[in-house]
Amino acid sequence: MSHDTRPQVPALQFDPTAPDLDVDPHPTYARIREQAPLYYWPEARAYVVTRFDDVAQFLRDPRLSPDPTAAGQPAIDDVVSAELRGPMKSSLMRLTVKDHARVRRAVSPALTPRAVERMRPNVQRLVDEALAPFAGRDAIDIAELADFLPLRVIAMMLAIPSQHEAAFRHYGEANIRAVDPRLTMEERGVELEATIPGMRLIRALIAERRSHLGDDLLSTLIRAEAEGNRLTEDEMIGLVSALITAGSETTVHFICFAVKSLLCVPERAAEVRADPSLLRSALEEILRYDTFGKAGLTRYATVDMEIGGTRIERGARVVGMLPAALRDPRAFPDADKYDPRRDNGESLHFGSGIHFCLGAWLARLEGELMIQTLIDRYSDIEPAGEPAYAGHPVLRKIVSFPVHVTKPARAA
Amino acid sequence: MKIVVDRDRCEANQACMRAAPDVFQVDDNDHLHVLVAHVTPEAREKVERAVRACPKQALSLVDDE
Repeated sequence: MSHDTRPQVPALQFDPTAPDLDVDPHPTYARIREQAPLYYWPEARAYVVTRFDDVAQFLRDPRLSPDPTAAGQPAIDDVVSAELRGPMKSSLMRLTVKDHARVRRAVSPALTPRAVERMRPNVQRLVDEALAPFAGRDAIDIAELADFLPLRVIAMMLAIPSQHEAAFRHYGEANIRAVDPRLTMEERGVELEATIPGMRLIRALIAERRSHLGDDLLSTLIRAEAEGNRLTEDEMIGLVSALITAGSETTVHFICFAVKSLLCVPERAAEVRADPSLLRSALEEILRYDTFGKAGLTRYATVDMEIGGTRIERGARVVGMLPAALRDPRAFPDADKYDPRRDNGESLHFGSGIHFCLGAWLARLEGELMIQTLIDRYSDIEPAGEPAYAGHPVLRKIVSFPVHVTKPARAA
Repeated sequence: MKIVVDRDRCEANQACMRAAPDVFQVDDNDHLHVLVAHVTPEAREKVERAVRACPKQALSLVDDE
């Protein structure tokens, strides 16, 4: 009898930093998705699911946890500095289901569709501020424009002074690089060392805010902590860290791809210009059709279980390849076609289940206001060159994307 | 059939309300109200769609006792 119990599944050959994964990843994802439902990715030491239904199960199944210790595996805390350890152990990805619900509850009321809608005037003001340096110019670097907004919005919510934004941008970027499923524990530890200055800054801001409570979200969290059993300090720091990390880069790329694949495609731009009520669903379709994510998220099997039609053992790592699932023809008719009217109500681009993106509505509002403002200010937007990509391991990160903009002819 | 809401999960995303506005209502304080005690056979499909659409998977349909 063999002791090798690993099921016979094909090995995945996949390099997230390959240039075609930035420029046009969809043929690669289609090939992977159509050749097999389940792979083993040696570089990531993980099974990979690629089809919509399997990725949906991956996201929703309570037997799959983002916490390795729930699956009997070592966690990153053992190899990071003591000052990172507490907040990491108390982060949303590590808490038990009950604690997770309690901690999310401390912040989720501030991010419901209704709460986010109340932020519209403030976010619009920041969009105007982002566009101000480009006034009177006929060229805009969309990457530079987009980079300004999401972190500034989070900073506004937490009432963090803008002088700290560079430090927090660096902090968020290091945390996102550490998501690369190929990294060993030690390599992740090295990436995370770069987050220590940002972590110190978060602690300092909290200490300072304790004596100057206001109506910002950080003050709300401090009050929840003061009420005793609602939030510990490490949980609060973990939450603030998650808000800054998730708010720093993801929406930047959403905006870049919305400009590239919506505003810079003449027939698509014409449709949303003619019918502004179409913009919301046109942008939702961008998140599905041209997602900025690469390999996907990592979970751990807490019991022996079946996924993608195969038994996997407790402790196994699993990656859900979201970009492949979002173009799965089994779930989306004409999946490779951009359809601004598509009903994406059951799509997975913000995840699904208990870890569903807390900032989904905020990202939608930021995208809507930035794109609508570009539409209102410029009668025409066209690429002035190809986007330049970073070759990033986790995101299709556009580092520069010059466009020509044309002001509307002055009304007579 | 009746609708069960997991209050630990519900975050007032309003997906259920969009799918079945006569069955689900999220009020001004972001509290979800289920407006029917039992799901009629005619409403079944719409409610199932609402259950699937919840991004937090906070809703389930269970048999009546």
